[in-house]
Amino acid sequence: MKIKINYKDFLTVYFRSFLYQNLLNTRNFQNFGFMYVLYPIIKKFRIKKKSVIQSLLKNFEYFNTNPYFVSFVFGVALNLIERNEEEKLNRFKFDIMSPLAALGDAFVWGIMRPFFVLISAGLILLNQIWAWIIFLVAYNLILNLFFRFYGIIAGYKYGINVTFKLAKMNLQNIIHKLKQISLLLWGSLLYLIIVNKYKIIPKISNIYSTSLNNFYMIVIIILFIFFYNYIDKKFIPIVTYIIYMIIMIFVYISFK
Amino acid sequence: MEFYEILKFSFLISLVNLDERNLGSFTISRPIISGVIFGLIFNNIFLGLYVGTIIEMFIVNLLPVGNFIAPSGAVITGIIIYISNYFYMHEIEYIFPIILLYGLSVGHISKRVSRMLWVFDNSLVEKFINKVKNGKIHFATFNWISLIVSVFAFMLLCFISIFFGIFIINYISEFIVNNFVTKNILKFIFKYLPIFSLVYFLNIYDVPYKLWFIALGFLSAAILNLFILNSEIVFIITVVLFITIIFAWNVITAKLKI
Repeated sequence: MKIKINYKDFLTVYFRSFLYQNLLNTRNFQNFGFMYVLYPIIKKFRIKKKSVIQSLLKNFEYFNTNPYFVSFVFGVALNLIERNEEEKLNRFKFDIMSPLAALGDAFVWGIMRPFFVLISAGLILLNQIWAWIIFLVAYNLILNLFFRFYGIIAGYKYGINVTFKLAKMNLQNIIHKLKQISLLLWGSLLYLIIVNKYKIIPKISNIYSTSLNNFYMIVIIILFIFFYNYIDKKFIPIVTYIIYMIIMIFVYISFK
Repeated sequence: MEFYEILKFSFLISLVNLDERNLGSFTISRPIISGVIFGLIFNNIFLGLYVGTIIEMFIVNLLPVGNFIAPSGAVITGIIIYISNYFYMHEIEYIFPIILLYGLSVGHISKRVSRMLWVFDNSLVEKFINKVKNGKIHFATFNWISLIVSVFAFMLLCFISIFFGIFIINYISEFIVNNFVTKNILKFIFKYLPIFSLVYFLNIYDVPYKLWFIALGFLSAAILNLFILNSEIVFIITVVLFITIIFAWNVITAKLKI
């Protein structure tokens, strides 16, 4: 009887993928995590222990990609292991690793996380203390629940052709649009903060709870928007922070 | 007693920090969420949210891409919240910018600690491969070793940083106030810190005509507020809904290539 992948295997790979980045190392990056996730599946399909060891050693090579988008590779691996075409997996891993990292990093770290941070942080500054839930729930729903699971299913379903499926998702375009929307959102949040002031500060500080001056705020914002680009490209963050502090001191002195 | 309290709190920080790399990436280690957790422990959720939001916007643009290691958000937030809480009865407004500077510096040390753990994991993986060659496959053991070492390393870092921080920040703040800047200037910085971080956050976006998009968002919000909606909550919900609709429409059109 031919052994097949069942729903338990999908769940095993899904839950193990949360430990994927453990033992991330400088030499081969995520090689340990990759084999940790796929080990139960290899064990299921290779009955002899020798062939399990051979299979593990063959896959212990350099591998580094986005931790959320790697689920597509897991799905493809399930497909190839089931069809007994495991020799194709190494080649596929090396081919897909870099494009997947570029796409995934731009999508996850570059746009999704800042987008939810922007919404939550903006609302928190307006004293909506529940707003941290937006960040927690939305991020985990989209990336941990949807992308991790959908990646495994899609990879298994389409096999090596999952690359075409990924290209059809047109993520580059979505990234570009989302950036524009984030900037719109940033502008509107700025207005809300200037009009409503930070209501969170008087909650922290009992001694110093005077209202904020809109004029100072607008001047500082305009100064920063025009200068941050230059400052940030030249120095490390702490130096940038110190420069910001110095600028603020000058602004304070000039308006005093 | 304080010694044990700092030790316990450092242990908690290192547990929360596990989410950054070792366990799951559920965003618990991000400053906004860890700020809430640490804030609740000190029964001061507003301080936690305030610190978390500022730190999040300062470090969100440091992307963990390839070989780059971002500073640990949970470590920075935890240390700042503990020390701020320690000085809470004094005038937090003028000590806070100094604590923030101290916390960000420790954040950069946390990068080094992470790098050391990566190098330590090299040797672990090598040992694992040797064991596999001998026919012994124990993934769980190596996972546990890595987790425990990570917890221990960050606990040590947090403990030393908090202990040292409490000890020196009092002197540093007095020294700065007496020699360099006045209390009022530090209070002024405290008051406008969210603006710093909000503007600093912007450098993650590399879009042409960036300022025009910001201006459009600003103006549309102003028009909505001035002419249509006066209630604050209704206004916030409307703006968020408005943005969500644009977002959904853009995503749909991008996907369908209309």
